[in-house]
Amino acid sequence: MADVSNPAIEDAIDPRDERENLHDYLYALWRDKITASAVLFLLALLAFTVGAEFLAPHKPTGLNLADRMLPPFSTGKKGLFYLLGTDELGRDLFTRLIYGARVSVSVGLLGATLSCVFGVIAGLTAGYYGGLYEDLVMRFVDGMLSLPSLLVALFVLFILGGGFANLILVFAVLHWMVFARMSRGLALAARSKTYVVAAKAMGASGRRIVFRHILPNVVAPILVLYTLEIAILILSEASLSFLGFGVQPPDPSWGLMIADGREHIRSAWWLVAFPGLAIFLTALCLNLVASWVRAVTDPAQRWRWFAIGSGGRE
Amino acid sequence: MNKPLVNVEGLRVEFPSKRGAIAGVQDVSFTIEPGEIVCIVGESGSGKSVSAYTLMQLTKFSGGWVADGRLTLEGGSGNEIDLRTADEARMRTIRGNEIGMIFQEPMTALNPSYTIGWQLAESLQQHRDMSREEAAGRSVELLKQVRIPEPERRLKQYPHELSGGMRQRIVIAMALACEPRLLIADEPTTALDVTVQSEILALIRKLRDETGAAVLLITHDMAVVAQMADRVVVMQNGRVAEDGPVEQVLTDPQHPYTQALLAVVPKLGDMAGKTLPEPMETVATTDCQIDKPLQPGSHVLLDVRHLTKRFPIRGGWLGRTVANAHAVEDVTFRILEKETLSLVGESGSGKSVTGLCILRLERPDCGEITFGGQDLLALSDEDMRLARRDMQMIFQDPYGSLNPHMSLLEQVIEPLKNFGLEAGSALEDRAAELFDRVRLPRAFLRRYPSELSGGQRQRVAIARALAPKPKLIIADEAVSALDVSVQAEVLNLMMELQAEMGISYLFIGHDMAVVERVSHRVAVMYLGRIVETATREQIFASPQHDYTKSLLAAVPTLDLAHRAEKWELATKPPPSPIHPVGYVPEPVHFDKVTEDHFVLRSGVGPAGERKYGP
Amino acid sequence: MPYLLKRVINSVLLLLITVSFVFFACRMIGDPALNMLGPGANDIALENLRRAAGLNDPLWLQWVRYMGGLLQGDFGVSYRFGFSVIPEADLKDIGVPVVDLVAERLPATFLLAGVAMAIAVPLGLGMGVIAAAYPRHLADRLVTVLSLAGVSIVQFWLGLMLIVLFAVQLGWLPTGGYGEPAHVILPALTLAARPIGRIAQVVRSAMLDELAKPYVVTARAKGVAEWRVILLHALRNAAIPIITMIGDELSALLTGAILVEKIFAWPGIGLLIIDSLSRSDLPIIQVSIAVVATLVIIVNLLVDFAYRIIDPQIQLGQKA
Repeated sequence: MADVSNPAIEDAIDPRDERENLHDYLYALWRDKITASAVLFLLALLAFTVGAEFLAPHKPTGLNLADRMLPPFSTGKKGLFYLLGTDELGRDLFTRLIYGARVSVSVGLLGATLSCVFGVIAGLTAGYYGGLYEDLVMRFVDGMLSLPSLLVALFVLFILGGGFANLILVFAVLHWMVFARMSRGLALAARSKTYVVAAKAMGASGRRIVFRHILPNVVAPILVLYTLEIAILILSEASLSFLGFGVQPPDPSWGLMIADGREHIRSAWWLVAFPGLAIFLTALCLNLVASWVRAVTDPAQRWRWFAIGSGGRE
Repeated sequence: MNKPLVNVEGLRVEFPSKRGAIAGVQDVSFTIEPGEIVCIVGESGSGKSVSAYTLMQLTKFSGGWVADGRLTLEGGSGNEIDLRTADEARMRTIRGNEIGMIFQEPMTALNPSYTIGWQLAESLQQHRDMSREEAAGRSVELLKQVRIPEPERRLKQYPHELSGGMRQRIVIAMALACEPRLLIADEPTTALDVTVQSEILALIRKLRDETGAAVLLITHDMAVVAQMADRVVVMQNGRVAEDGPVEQVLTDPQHPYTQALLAVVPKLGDMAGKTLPEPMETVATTDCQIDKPLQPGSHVLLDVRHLTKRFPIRGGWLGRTVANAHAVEDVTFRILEKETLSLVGESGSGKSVTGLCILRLERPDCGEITFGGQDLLALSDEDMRLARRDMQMIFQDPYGSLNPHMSLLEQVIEPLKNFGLEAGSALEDRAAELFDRVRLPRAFLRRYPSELSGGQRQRVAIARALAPKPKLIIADEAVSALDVSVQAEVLNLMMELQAEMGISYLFIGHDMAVVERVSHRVAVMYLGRIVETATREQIFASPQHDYTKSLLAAVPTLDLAHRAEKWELATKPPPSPIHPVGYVPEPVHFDKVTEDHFVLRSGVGPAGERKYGP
Repeated sequence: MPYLLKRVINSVLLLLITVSFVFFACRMIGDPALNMLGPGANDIALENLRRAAGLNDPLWLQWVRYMGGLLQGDFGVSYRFGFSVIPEADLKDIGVPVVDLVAERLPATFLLAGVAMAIAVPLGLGMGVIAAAYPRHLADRLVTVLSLAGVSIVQFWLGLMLIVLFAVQLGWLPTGGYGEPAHVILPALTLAARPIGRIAQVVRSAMLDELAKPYVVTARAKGVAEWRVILLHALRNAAIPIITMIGDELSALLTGAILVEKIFAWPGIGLLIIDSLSRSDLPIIQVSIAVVATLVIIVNLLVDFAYRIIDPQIQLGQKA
């Protein structure tokens, strides 16, 4: 202390209470090999979606009827190598997967981002201000949440017609409530926290309290939900596109590729297996990262992740 | 008594941390004789609980392990049980059977989903192989032993239906179920009100006398030690500082740390005959710099009249209000310039809600609050926000009252920004000045709250409250969460600032010894009402209201000659401030004892029930 | 149970809004008469149908008539089997009542959801409890990855893969259909993957929360065996989030089986909906959505009811 007046009495800082820095998080990630691989996979996926033109081995629309329906690891007539095989038009499956990732990942990202922004604003303000506003917002949210969302999405897309933009719009409208409900709960809990009461006593305005005081303290759970929602939206996109209500051909999306491949499932299993596997791995990695973030930011569990030297026993 | 019951030698317990294994305790040795009460006393972080949890092998559930040392329990027939190496199956025959345990938080120490009877019987069925009927019979006996009224009915109740004091007695009954030879009590009264504390301590002593079980009591409170211990182990930074019989440790401490601890404990009655507050005693070398006496002014700064706040309790059909919790009921008081008024009372007395109402952080139901000539309840929300510039608040919990994701600089300049008082680089200069003022190094401005100790954080909270140069600071239990040595320093800082800047304080607290030290005037609250108000001297020298008297009597003292001898145990549940909707409280009438000294004449309950009425 | 009454009223309101929304939305896409008769219909037939079905009336009147019909149990008739042009005939006599079509699909949907939950609940509970009992050990990591895999898998793709493996390659089980016990195995397994994962996750995290609470230390200090601490103390207190999750997943099974039913040709509500969508059979879609929403509401009410049984504190709130 500044006035270390009495060396005999020490007002100590609990070492378990210290704030983790970026390095600690990276180290904890490094030690958790499964999550570290998930992060690497997602980074690679992102690189492929951004740089598809440079990274894809073939042209996405390159018809090559001579090399139709080749199984994985085959070499075509002209000596071209097809890592994951080809489809009924002789197009390289791996290349199509990379371009499909573009559509699937951006639907997931955009849909989740839109619903997150809107839901968090609605939820935090509802939770903090309370009163009639909260009542109305939450009544609406609860109502929409109890609707069967896949069914409603199907119905709305049936009416509006499918396509990339409509899909994202429908996702945003049907998923913001998840964020709203969670943020409202977080804001409600934060409202009674002393630092929020203290901020109010210091003359902070409502908007300042919501966005400067509450929001930074609830980022972790929102981030977790955001990651999970991306995964959920990628899965939903696949389902809707498979049924023909989502992304429309010729845009390649993973769901659409499974639908196309289904006709040939007996003869060319890879046409169904690999797009599904791509969705599965992407969703799995997102889930792994989300659950890791949740664990390392959970006050009751976090020490397990940062502690070193547990003496081999826990 | 040839052999000690428990023998701990050279114990070292380690825990994992970011920087590798750290020792929770090291080189700790002590013994417990059969039937003896041993107190382990220390401040937060001293490792005082670690040895006790290790005796039960409970540290391993939080990641700790014994790195070195011996722990043995005398096995009853001369043999020794090694508590360090005993396997889990063996430990289960010891936990709850040979050693019973009581915890700090009675509100959470019981499983909310099961009845009291189920939880009591669990241990009996585990260790004594009793049938359900036998266990129920024994449970009733146990509840009688801990002086719980209507034991048969309690067995069918759930924990949430009982008060904190009652729950703590249930936890004690559970610990005693199998007649253990050692009872470990980990801060058993810290979470309880002072009047309940004295009851629980009395009960523990009485049970020791009745059953002959030894007691290992862990506490931070030297007064509790004085009331309870046969022998004391003083711990500091994970090591034993001093170990000896209570008389010797309290009257002739050998270790400088023990001497320091004893010196800073505020003692009730120290201020007898003095009219003005005085700084706390510390062992600090840089002593408190108060050059002028803390003489209050003559102008009224805050005038609170008939303040009432009730919280509706909803339930039943469509969530209508079915009852009201009368948190604050017709409370009237004034604070002069440069004056400290203390609001004292136990949990649920409404003292904190009163503080929140003044800042309008809770909206009062009725009453008048005039602050510096301004009627606060008439202000618009925006005007009220601006009015808070002159009235700031310090909270109990220095961990919770600072935003964990903001640097200290941002937090300290926040009020300045909110009220538009400074801008640009002036903000940082002012923050640096404020840190100087509360004696924190300027380098700390870049830090985050988690990088500070509790006392340092409370200094930041004070710096923040000082930033807009307020006239009134409401200190809601501002030092209750701090260790006693740190508490003294923070209080002295507050008094120093009062002398220098002419601040008035509304000091909300429950520790009578601290209140005696810092206040000019005192108002005692009970069940939402002020039952007595007077100058500090009058309250402590001649308390008039029964409740004030019982509050003062319950404060444990360091005086070994005055170990409480009467073991009176209240068996009635505490009266509740919850009343049905149409309830009209008795009107408030005060008797004037002397100029400035008023005592509530009317009862605090409904007409007819004159609890704590004269 | 006044609280439950409030919930029921809310739910019924919600249902009315949903049904109205679907009604108006259906009227907005194209000419209903044209939808019913198909693109080849002549003008006279269309006009006759419009008159007979009241399609020339103002939209609000049609809505009132539709809602009135719903209240009396008249859910309209399916377009499915078309209408021959019989000018004055009562439509109710010709078309197939929607309610019959939907009702005959319900048993299949219930059977599938029931079998899937019967697989998912015990497995999910078991996995979650094991993971919580050994945090950060091998078993926990395995459960974590498996449960996340269950959540991450695309259901219809899993179904397709199972068909390829067990029906096409190995020939052990039928590729689809309904009627025999063997038919339910693959679709139920496909549907169970996700709830297994989600239940295991919520059991694990809720139990870890509970195991960190002081009453667990009390129980251990009493010498209670660790299995009792885990199963009787922690699991019991973790029941509320677990039941919430089971309820959510059951709702999802009742509504989200669309793709799985389609892939396995399982004649449940989901298959009915998807077929009706492709035929633009709007009355069926309207009623199916209403029925599914009702099922979800019933599940939610049951979950609410379960809270009250489980949590002694909520019970007390009722009495007070």
